[in-house]
Amino acid sequence: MSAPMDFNILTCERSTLKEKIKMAHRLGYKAVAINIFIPELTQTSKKKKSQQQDIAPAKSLKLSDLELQELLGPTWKSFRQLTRISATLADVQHNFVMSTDIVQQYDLVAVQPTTDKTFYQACTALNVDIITLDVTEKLPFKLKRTTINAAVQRGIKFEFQYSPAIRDSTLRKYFIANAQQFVFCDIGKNIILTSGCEKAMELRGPYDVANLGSLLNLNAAQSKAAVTSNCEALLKHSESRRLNKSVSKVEKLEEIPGNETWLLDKLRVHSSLESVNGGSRDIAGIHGIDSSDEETSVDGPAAKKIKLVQT
Amino acid sequence: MVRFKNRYIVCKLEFGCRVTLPDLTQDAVYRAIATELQVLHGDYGTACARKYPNLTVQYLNPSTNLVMVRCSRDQCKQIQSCLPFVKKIGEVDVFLHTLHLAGTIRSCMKFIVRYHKSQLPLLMSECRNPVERKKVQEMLTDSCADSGRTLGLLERSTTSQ
Repeated sequence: MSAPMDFNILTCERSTLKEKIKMAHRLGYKAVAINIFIPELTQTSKKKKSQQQDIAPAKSLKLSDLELQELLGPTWKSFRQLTRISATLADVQHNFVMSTDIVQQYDLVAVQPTTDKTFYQACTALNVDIITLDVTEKLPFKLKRTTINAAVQRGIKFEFQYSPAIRDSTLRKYFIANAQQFVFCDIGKNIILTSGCEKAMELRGPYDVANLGSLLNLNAAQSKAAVTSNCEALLKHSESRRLNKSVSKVEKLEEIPGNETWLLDKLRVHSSLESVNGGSRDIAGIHGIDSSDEETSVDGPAAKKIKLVQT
Repeated sequence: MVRFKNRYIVCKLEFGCRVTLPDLTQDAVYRAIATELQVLHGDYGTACARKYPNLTVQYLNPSTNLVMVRCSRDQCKQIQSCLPFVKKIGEVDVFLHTLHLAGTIRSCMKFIVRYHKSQLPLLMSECRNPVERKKVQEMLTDSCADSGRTLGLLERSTTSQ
C-alpha cells in the first residue's frame, strides 16, 4: 500500500490535537490534514466581514517542527502536516468567500453543500478540492450523474467521514446508505474516506478504513485508492489550484517576432547557466507546474516560453 | 476431503494512553468482536461465524497487545468490516488496528516476529532511564544475532499447542 493519508483531523485544543496526530502517526499515516470547520459561512454581509477576519491563517493550525519532533520521535521528518478549511454551503450568493485569499492559502479547501443549488455550484463552479457529503442525516439533495461528472472532470473528490459511523448505530446506517448511493452514481472512483475524529480513539488504521469500503460496495482496489492514491491526486489538485492560471507556448527561436527579442537575451543568460549546471529541466517546466517566475522556467535554448498571468 | 480454508488476521489492540490491560483474555476479545458482528451482520453473520472454521481468537500477546483472529475465508470480508467498529473490550476503550492478513498460522507468526523486531528501535526512543535503555539494547542485539532461532522457537511452540 502506498502512503496512506487522513485528510480530516478536526482542530481542537493543542493537547488533544497532539494526541490525535501521534495516534495517526502510530497507525501508519504518512500525511495528516488538520481541519478547521466553519459551520456557517453565509450570514449577512456585516457578520461575514467579521467572520472573514475570524478565519485563522493557515500556518497557525500546524504544529511547529520542534513540537512534532518531540511528539513523534526520530521518524518525524517523513510525516507531513497539511491544513484544511471546510465550510457548509447554505446559500448560493455568499459563496465568493471561498475564493478569497485567506481561504485559498489553506492546503485543502472543502465545502459541504446542503441544498441542490449549492451542490450544483460546488461541483461546477467553486474553486475547491473536496466536497464533503453529510453522513449524519439523509442526503438533502439528489445526486445526479451529470453533476458529479462535472466535478470529477475538475479533479474534485468526494469525502465521507467514518468516525460518526463508529460513534453511533443510527449514524452508521446513514453513512452506509449515503455512501452506497454515491458509489452507485460514481462507480466507486473519486471517493475518499477520512476520519473527522474528535478523539484519538476514533481513528482507525488505514487497512481497517479500506475494509470499510467493502460495506460501501467498493472493491478492494477502489477502497485502497480511497485512502491512498485518491488523496495523492488531491494534493496535486490543490497545488494546481493555488497556482495562477497560466499558459505556456513553445516556439522556434528564428520565428520570434521582433518586438519580443528581449526574451533572447534572457534566454542566453539562462542557457549559459544551464550548461554550467549540466542539467536540462524536466517536462514539468514546460507546463508551468513548478515554475514560479518566468525567466527560470524556460526549457532549453531552442524554445521560449511565455506565461500569461491572470489575476 | 478438501482442507478448510482459513484466514488469520493479526491485529494490535490500541489502548490510547494505557499500555496494557491486566485481565485481558482471548475470550473477552472474542466476545467484543462477536457482538459487533451481531450488530452489523445480524443473525446470518453470527451463524456463519459459528460453523467450523469458526471465528476464534487464536493468539494473544498481553505484553505487546497483539491478537490473532481466525475466520473462514468466505467470511473474511464480513469479519474485517466489523473490526473497525469494535470500541470496547469489557469496560475499557480500545480499538483494533489490523496489521496483517494471512492464510496460515505459520506466516502470521513470521510476521509477528518481524513486527516485534521492527518495534524495538522505536521502544528505544521511549526509554526514560538508563536501566530500561540497557534492557532494550540487549533485546535488540539478541534479535539481530539469531533471527533463525527466535523464529524456530515460535513456530515450534505453536505447533505443539
